[in-house]
Amino acid sequence: MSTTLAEGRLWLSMPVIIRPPRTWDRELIREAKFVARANSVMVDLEGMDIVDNKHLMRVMWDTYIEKLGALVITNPQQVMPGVNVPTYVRITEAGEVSNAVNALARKNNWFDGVIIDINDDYPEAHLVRLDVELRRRGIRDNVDLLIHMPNIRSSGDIIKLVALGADAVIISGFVERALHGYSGIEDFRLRFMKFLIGVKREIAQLLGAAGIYSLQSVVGNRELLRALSGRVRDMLMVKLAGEDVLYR
Amino acid sequence: MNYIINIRPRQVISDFIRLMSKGPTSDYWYSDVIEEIREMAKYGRPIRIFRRGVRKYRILDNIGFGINETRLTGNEKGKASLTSSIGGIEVSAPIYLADMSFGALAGVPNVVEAELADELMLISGTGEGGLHPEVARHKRIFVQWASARFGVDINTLMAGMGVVIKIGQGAKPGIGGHLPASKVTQVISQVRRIPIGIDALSPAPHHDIYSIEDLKQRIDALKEATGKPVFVKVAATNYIPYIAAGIARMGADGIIIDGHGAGTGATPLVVRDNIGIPIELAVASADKMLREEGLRDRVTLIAAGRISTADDAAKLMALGADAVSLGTALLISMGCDMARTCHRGNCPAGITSKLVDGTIIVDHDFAFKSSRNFLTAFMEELRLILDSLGIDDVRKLVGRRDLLQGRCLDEVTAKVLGINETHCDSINENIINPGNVWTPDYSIYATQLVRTGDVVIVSMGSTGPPEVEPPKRLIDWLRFDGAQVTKPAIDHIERT
Repeated sequence: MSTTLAEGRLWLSMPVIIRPPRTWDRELIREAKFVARANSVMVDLEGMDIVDNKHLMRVMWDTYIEKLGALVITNPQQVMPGVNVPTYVRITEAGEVSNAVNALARKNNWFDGVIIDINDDYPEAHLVRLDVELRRRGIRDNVDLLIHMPNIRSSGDIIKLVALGADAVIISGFVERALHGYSGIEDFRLRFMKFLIGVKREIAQLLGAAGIYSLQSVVGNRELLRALSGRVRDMLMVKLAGEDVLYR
Repeated sequence: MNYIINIRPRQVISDFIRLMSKGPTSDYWYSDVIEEIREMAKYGRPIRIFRRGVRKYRILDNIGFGINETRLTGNEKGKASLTSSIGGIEVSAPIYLADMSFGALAGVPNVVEAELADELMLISGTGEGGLHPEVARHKRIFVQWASARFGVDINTLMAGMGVVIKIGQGAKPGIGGHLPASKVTQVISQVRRIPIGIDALSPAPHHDIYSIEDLKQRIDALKEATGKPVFVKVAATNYIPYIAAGIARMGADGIIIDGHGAGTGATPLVVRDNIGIPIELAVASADKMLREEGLRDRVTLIAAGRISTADDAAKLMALGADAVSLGTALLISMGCDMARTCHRGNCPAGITSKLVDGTIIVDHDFAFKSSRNFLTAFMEELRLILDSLGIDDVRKLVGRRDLLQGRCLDEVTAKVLGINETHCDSINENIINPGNVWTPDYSIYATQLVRTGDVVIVSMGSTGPPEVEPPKRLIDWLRFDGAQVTKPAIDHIERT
C-alpha cells in the first residue's frame, strides 16, 4: 500500500498527506513533522511556519529551501528551473483545471503534479476530469494528482478518492477531529502515531477486502467503485451498482 | 426451559427495554421502525401495508406497488397462500431466519430462532460459531460451513436440513467473521474449540475455495456427505450477478445474497460503510442474469439485509427474490433496542451479551412469544399485500417487476431494477446536502482510531450515507469493491 510520487523521488508508506489545522502552534507542528517522517508520509505546511529545519524531506512548503521534500506553488509560471525538488501546483478554482492540464502537457514547463484544492460542491468531479484528461493525453503516469478535501472523515474516503484518480490524499479535518483533546505533548505524539497506524491498517483492510495486491492498481481504477445514483454515475464516470459490464 | 449455558444471569430481561429516540437519518432501524416491530411482537397483529418509504435516498423506499398506504385494524385475515419452498424444503412462508452465530448471540436467542423455525415451519440458519447443543435438537436448521470451520464435523453437518457455505456477509464483504476477544468466554471456547479471550477472526476466504471449480468440489462433497441441499451465502458486491450465475452453475441449491447494511456482531466501520451494494440492486441484477443464463429455476434466491417490513419483503420478491431473510428485525422483536454494543458484549437487552457469570440474558419465554407474534403479524401483512395485488400464491409474486413503480428513479437505476414505470413530482433532488460530516458515529470512530491505533470495530448494520445519513459529498454515493473468493492480499494484522 506504499506509493511513490514525483516519479520515484518521494516515497509514501500510504497515500496520505497531513495538513495541520491553522490552530496548531509551533510545538504541535514540530511534532507533526516528526510523526510524518516516522511514518513516511508527508506534511503539507503551505502558508505555515515550518518551525525548524528538521525532517524537511517530509515537508511540503511554498518556499524553496535546501533539503525540502516538495515545493507547492500556486501558478505553473513559478516553476524554478534548475531546482531539483518535486513541485506541485495548487489549484483552487475550477477554471484553472484546463490551464493545469496544458501546463502539465508542456515539457518545458515541467512540474510534478497538481493539488486539487477546490472549495466547491463537487471537488471529486474535478479529480475525475483531470485523471481522465491526463490519461487521454498519455501523460497520467508521469504526473501526480493530489486532492485536499477538508471534509474527509475516514480511511474509506481516502481509498475512494484514490480509486477516483488521486495518487495521494491530503487530510485536514480528519486529523483535527481525531487529535483534539490530547493532554500534553507526549500524549499528542502518541495519539498522532496511533492515528496514522490505524489509518494505515484500515486502508490495508479495505484493499485486502477487495482482493487487491497493490495500491497502484487502485489509482484511477473507477471500475472498483459503484455509484448508487445515476446522476453521480455520470458525474464521476463510475458504473451504477448492479449495472452490467456489457450493458444489455 | 433450562438454560444450556451454564451461568447465573445477573438479570433476566423479560420485557422490551426503554428505547432511545432516533430519527431515520441517524439509524436505519430508527425509533418508529422498532416501535412498530414491538407492537407486532406484543399483539401478533398486522399494522399497516404499502408503507410509504421515508428514507429519501434508499432505492427500495422509492419503489412501490402504486397503492396507497393502508392502515389495518389488526383483525384482517389474508387469503393468499404463503407456502413456498427453500431449496426444495416446503416452508409456510418465504422467510429464512438469518444466520446468527452462538457467540455473537447469547444462546437464548439462538435457541428461540431454531424453535421458531420448527414451530412455524420456516428455516433457520445457525451461523458460524459451532452448534449450540440445544439448537442442534431442532430439525429445521441450516448449519453453516464458514471459513473458520469452528466446531464443524460430520455430526454438525448432519444436524439440520441443509448446509450453508458462507463465503461472505453484507456487513463486511471481503473479510471473514469476527467474534471479539471479550466475547470468547469459557462456553464459546468449548463450542468453537478456540482459546479463551482471543479474537475469533475467520479467514477472509475459505482456504480450500479460491476458484469456481473449488466451489464446485465443496458443494459436491457436502452434498455427497450429507445428502442435503447446499446453499451459498455471499455479500452483495460489484460483480454479484456473475457470482450468482457461477454459484448456480456449480450446482448449489440456493443463494443467499446479503446486502449492504445487514446486521452483524462485529465489523470494521470502514468496511461496513464503504463496501457492498444495496440488496435491491443486487437481487434485481442477479435475478436478471440467472434468467438470461437459464439458471433461475435451479436455485432459491434469498434476499438478506435491511428487510424491516413485509413491504420490503414483497418488493424484493417482485424484484426477483424467492424468499427473504430476517435477522435484525427478528432480534428487535426479541427485545433488541439497537444500542449497537454487540461487539462489546454488554447488550442491555440481553441478546448479544457475553457469556460470563452475572450477565444480562433475555428471558426465553418472552423472546419466543414476542418473536413468534412478530413473525405471525409479518406473514399476515405479506398475505394482505398479496390479496391487494390480486395474487393468490406468494410464489407468483417472484420477479413481477411489472407491478412495481419507481418514485423519482433515474433512468439507469430503473433499468438495473427492471422497472419501467417511474413517477416524479419534484425534480432535481439535491444529491448533496449541507451539514457537518462529523456525525456522532464518525466522531466516535475518530476517537477510537486514535485511542487504539487499530481498525475500528462497530456492530449492527450501517448508518452511513446515502441511505441513512444524508449524503454530503459525492463520495458518499460510492461503494468500493469487495472480493468474494480471494486470497487476502494484504493482511492488516500481519503486515502493517
